[in-house]
Order: sequence, then structure tokens, then C-alpha cells
Amino acid sequence: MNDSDIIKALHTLRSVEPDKQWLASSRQQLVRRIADSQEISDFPAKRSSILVFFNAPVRLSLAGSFLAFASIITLASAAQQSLPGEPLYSVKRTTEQVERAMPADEATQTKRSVEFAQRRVEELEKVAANSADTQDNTVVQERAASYRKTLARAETTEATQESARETGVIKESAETLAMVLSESKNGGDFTAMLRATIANRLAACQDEEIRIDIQNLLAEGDVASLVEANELSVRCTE
Amino acid sequence: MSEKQFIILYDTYAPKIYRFLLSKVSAVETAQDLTSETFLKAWDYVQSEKNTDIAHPAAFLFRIARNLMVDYYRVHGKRKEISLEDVMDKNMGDSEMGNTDIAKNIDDKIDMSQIKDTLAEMSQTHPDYADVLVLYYVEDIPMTEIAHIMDRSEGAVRVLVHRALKELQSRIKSS
Repeated sequence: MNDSDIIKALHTLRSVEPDKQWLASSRQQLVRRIADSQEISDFPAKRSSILVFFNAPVRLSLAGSFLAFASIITLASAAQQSLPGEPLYSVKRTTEQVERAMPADEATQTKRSVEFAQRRVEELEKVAANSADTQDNTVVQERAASYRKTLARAETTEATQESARETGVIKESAETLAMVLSESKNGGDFTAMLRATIANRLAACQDEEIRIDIQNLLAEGDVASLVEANELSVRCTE
Repeated sequence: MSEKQFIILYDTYAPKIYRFLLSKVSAVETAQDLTSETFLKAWDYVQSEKNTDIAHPAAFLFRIARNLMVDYYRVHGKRKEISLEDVMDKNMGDSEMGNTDIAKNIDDKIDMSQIKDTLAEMSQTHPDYADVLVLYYVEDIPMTEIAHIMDRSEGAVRVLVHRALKELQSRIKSS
């Protein structure tokens, strides 16, 4: 089988089509969302010209709509302060995902990456500060402080492929620690959950040397070793 | 971007995004949900940035889809093996080809099955290889767009495609 045969075989995957009924219903859902958002965005433009002609109950109703709209804005703004495990955190991440998805030049992308990594470290510090277990907190906070220093250097020096990779590792490692710490506040075992996360990544890690290092750190079992293993597992699967 | 333009974007890219996501998740329903979510998120962005034209719509949508996949894996753990058999069976049933060339269908199905299994394996060990092969050879996304999607230079993508193809070839030969 040569390259041409492989490419032909890849082309056969084009015949996989989504279910037509689902495609249509998903389209309808999107059209409804678009219509809803258009109604909200059209409202402020119209109100100044028509509001004075409405009677009191209608004005009251419009005021209610305006308050609802203002609440959405407040919600989005409040989400920026949210931490992993909190209800508004998904709103914050959604905003970031869209921001990240936007095309940008290399310098802007680097700046965004460092900024997002700094947010994850900041969240980690806050979650650790709110956590009950002081032993876990100390180890995690020391690691967060080390991440913060590395990111500060990345901000001031010229971006390289290596520094971009390091930023990615820090972002992912800090995010994992913050999420696991946050989950452990709901009655979970921080160490056990972190182990499970590392084990999942270990399955995808192809570098034999790093695999052995991770397994040795897991065998040691203390929090500092697990934090180190978490970072290594991210490094191996990045 | 107007709502009409965005719906056109949906009609154009929904099947592509769906196929891309289906090459990574085991369940058709999950691929469907993630595809819907990709477009809802994309519209939310378009809505929040009025009068902003999306310079690279394919890159814009595939990047959102990839980020959703990352979040999906984070929540659901390690990658699972792909399962396209039911989709393939259904497509064969829906196909306009009907029963005109049953022997050819069987041959195609064997090729598809082998390719999809190997791509699924690659998704676990070399996700970028699997992504670039699906984007370039299945979805016909140009190198320049893939470069935007994967945050790499066009040259780096070209090298990645070459390596991914070799890797796929080697895996198929050894299977």
C-alpha cells in the first residue's frame, strides 16, 4: 500500500454523513438561538424612540426585559472572577475558548497564552488558599509560586518554541491541580483524584523515560511527588 | 457577520465538524452534541463582536471544536476507541449507490474500517497526526487554514502531514 492508496482510503471517510434529521434539528436550534439573541440586541436601539408612547404596564414590562438584559451582562462580568468548581466557571472558560479561537498574529497568540496560564495559576492559588488541608495547600502554593515566576520571565523575554511549550505545560498543570483541589472540597480525596488524572495521562505518554519517572513518583506517593508527576504527565502528553 | 451568513456557515461546515469530532469520540450522540455546541459557541462569539468578519471561518470553527474536545477529554478521561460501524452501516443504507455494486461497497467498507481503526489509535498517541490527516485529506482544509487551526506555521503543517501519512502507512502495514 503506497501513499496514494492511503490517501484514497482516507477519502472514503468523506462518505460518513451526519444523520439528516439531527442536522435539521440542530440547525433549527441554532436559528432559534440567533432569533433570541437578535431580539435582545435590537431592544436598546428601539426603546428610546418608542418607549414614551407606551402606557405604564408596557413600560414596566420593558423595564423588566432591560433588567434581565443587564443581569446577563452582570453575569458575564461576575464569571470572570469565578473559580474552578463554581457555577459560573464554565461561562468564564467559554469566553476564553472563543477568544482563543480567534485568529491572531504570533505575538498576540503568545501574549494570550501567557495571560491564560497566569489566570490558571491565579485560580490555583485562590483555590489552594480556600482549601482545608494545610499540608496539600503548602505544596500546591509553592508550586504555584514557581509557575508564577516562570510566567513572569516568559512575559519579559522573547517567545521561543520552548517557552511556548513551557507556558502550555504550566497552564495545563495548574488547571489540573485547581480542578482536583476544587473537587476534593466536595468530599473527594485530593491525592486519589490526582493519581487517577495522572494515570489517565500516563496511558497516552509515549516517552519511556518520563513514564518511568512518573511511575517512581507515583510510588513515592506524597503530595509533592504527585504534584511533580502531574507536571511530568502533562509534559509527556502536550 | 449576519445571521444568514452564519447559517450558511453552519450548512457548509456542520458535516465537516461532525466528521472531525466523530473521528475522536466513540459515540455518535457525543459527536452530535459537540458539533451543536461548536456552532452555538461560535454564534455567541460572533454576537459579542458585532461587525467583525471572521477572516478564517474554517479555522475559527475547528479551533472551537478542538477546544471542546480538550474539555471533553478532561471531563471524561482518556480517549476511547472510535466506533463508526453503525454510522457506516447506516450510510451504506442511505447511499444513493443502493445495490448497484455490492462488491465495491464491501471493499470500500474494509478500507474505511481499517483506516478509521488506525486513525483512532493515532488519536490516542499522536492526536496532531490524526487531526491533520482528517483536516487535510478528509475535509480538504487548505494548509494555510490548518496552520491557523493548529497554531503552527504552514511549513510545520506540511511536515506534519508528511510525517502523519508515513505513520499511518507504517501502522497499516504492520497491522
